Amino acid sequence: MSVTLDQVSFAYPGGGAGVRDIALEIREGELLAVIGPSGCGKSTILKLIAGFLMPQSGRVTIAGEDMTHVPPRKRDLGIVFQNYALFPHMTLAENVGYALKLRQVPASEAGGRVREALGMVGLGHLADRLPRSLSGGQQQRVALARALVFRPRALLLDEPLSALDATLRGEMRDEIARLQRLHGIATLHITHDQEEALSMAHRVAVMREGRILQVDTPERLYARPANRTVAAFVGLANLFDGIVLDALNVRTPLGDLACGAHPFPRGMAVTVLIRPEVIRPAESANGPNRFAGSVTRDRFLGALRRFDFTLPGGQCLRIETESHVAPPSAIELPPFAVQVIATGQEGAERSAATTDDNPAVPA
Amino acid sequence: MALSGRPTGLGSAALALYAAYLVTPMALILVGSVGGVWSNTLLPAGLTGRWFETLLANPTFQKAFITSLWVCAATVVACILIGAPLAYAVATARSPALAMFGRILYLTPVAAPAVVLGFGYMLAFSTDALPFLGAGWLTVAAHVVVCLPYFLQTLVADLKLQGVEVLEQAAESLGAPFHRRFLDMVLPGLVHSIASASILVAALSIGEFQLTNLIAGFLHRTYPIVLLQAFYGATGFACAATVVLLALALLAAMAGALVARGATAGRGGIA
Repeated sequence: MSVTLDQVSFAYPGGGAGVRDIALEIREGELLAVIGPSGCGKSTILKLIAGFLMPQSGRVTIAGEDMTHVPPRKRDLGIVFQNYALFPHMTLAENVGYALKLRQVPASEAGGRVREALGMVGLGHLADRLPRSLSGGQQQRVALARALVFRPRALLLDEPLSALDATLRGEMRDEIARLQRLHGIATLHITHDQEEALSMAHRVAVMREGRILQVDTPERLYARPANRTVAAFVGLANLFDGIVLDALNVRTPLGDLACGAHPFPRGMAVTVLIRPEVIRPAESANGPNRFAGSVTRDRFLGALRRFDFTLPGGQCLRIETESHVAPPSAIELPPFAVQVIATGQEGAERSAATTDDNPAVPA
Repeated sequence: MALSGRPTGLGSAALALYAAYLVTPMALILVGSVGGVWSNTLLPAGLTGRWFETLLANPTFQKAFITSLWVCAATVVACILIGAPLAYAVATARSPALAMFGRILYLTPVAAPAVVLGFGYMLAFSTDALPFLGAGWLTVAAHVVVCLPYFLQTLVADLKLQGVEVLEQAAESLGAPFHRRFLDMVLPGLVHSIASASILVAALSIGEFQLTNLIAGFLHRTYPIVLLQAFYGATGFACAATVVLLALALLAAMAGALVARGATAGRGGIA
């Protein structure tokens, strides 16, 4: 079942950041991540879908049904909260079985489903424990089991991994993705961690200041950001102001660069994006898109090495290479790696909202 | 381990002085309650149990003691019935203005001196239209007004500590209507704080004097009111009567401390 926000707007009474004209679809079986800086409105989207907030305009539909004014308890959505929100006075089995009790599922059937749900997250042997005796990761698993046991129409995850340490976060990413694929349930995953979003989601929505800037697959979001803001937020990026010279050339503070094909007209002010990992060390600065300079900072990151490469004019580029590569004295920017993208919001119109040209959700 | 630079000796001395200041009158009352004759001496002469015998045989004190107990019990029950939903409403109020209004409303009795409240009650309930001054239920109502702020403070703080709003959202998302959320989430989470706040209320109600003295009629005098009369008689009798009140207050305080310890040990906020 899918979840759709149709031109939804919401403003907080006190004037806090809300959301404006949100058009978004979480498709059946899809895990859609929403990322953005703090206060961009991503949690507001979750609350609007959950029914904890009512939009001032627009519609929320679940499986095609208009749910805009339906209370949360009648929406049949599984929610995993940031701090898990397990009921402290109930055992794990009681926590997981609570939704079934409310639905008056016969005790024998409910018991089986609770055992199955706890077994699914590997905690069947702890059914009689209270939540406070569990680790953060275990509590997270219980929260997932509780959210899935009543077979909800969609799953909402509100920064579910933010309270975990780095190692556990990695494990839980895989666990959540596994369960989501297993249940084939439409899932909204709110996070401020772009690595988490890119590694788990079928599609990612990037938000800023209450608006969705781009919705796309992780690969396309990284490779073809709609505008400067998205490019800056997703992954590391070297960004420069540019003026289009023609379809294959752009003027930048680095000089005139050969670039990849783009749709912008001659003379238009654009942003030039060069990802650090596509910049190549060169033997000399002779030739197009080649520059001499010096490494002003060298960071060893294990498998990778990150340099700050400063040109004689003072412009600095961030470069990533394999860790055994020596600091270069010259670099080459392959034309395909010099991307011309929109500077303002206009680029977002192409891919915000529901994009029909996105690939289908993987099975 | 003491922190460097902290004057621990001075602190201990201050604590000892305060303890002596607190304990000395109680010790003197205790000694006086079993002392024979006590007149113009530092300590009474002789040892006797007759003051307690006299007290037990005194129907006025017996009746006042029973009145105090039922007024106290009724006050506790009323505080729970009114206070639990009210604390929930204040702790989860979405409008900051509403939360502030509720807070001011329930804290007003703390700010207003009991004597002011008492005069208000006398004016309001001694008219032909509302001739209730002296009624037992009015004493209970007055005690509720005095005790409720303390009850609410405890519960509101606990509800906020537990993050009850998120727990409720979780329950609501699982399909729980309001009454189930209140019964299944809010109340079980408040069991310990209701217990400790109730004991606080009981202690306050048992010792309440100022307001009760102004509004309680002859038929429903509580123990502290008749205790005042005892001071016009023999010192030993007054001490014995005070010891009974003191014992009740100490019992309440000890029970409160035990419940608070249990609540701390069993505390479970948002997990």
